Amino acid sequence: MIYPVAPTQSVDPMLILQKAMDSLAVQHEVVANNLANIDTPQFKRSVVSFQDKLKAALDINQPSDLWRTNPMHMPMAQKISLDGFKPDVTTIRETIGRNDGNNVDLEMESGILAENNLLYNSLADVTGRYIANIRHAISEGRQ
Amino acid sequence: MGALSGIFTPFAISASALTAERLRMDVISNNIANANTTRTLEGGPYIRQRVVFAPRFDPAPTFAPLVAMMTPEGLPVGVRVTSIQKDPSSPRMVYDPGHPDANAEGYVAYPNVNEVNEMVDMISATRAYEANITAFNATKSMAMQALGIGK
Repeated sequence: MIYPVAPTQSVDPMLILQKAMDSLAVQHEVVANNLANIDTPQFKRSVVSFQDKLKAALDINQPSDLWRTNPMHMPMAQKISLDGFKPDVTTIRETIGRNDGNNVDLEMESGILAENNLLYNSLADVTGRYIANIRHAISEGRQ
Repeated sequence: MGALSGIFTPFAISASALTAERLRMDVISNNIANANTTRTLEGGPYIRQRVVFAPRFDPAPTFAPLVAMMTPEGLPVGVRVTSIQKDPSSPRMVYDPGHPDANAEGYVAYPNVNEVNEMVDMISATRAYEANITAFNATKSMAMQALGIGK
């Protein structure tokens, strides 16, 4: 029986937010490029995925050199690093959309664009609130 | 282009598409305007023109997270018009012996422009233009939100 090295682990939330927002920015760029090439013959759309990868990178149960073999062993903090994290960009070459070989779907791209935009804006809001909390802790303590 | 990479790249991508679609619209308008032009400087009727689109590439990107989508040509950043080509289909022959451009048999060669096709192309160009405007506005909204962090 192998137990997680670190039952509780905190990663700087700002770092997670930053990586998620960077990934969403890349996704936005890819969707904008798909839409720009909506009338380009033989163009193939690209997609971005990062959610599962980010989740896996933050998983405290990920394989490590350190293992506890007894629940009574002292838990040790496992370093979770997001250094070098970047989203996967994949070009979809298998599907055929139209007669000109272009597989960009206007409705699908518009949907991703809107969803992406909302998600980015909400993450920006969360980041702002996080900073506001820190500022609150710094300044309001004086009163 | 390389210097613009990052948060402003999507603006350039959408702008390239807006330029391309507008040029396409210009060419369509020109086709419709000349749908009945029977004489040109080169001689013969006006010949329908078409735009040819191709992906645009940035050969030296600086935005590292996008390296995964690099191709041998560079990083895709929008669309460009490679050429405006003439439609090789034959002209429309209309029997009108009184026309100054009629041939010996009394037929006049009219441009190979089909107004219905041009209208359909025009709608397609308009929709693509609108889609890219939407993408542009989304980019702007995201940039404004990012600039507002910490306010």
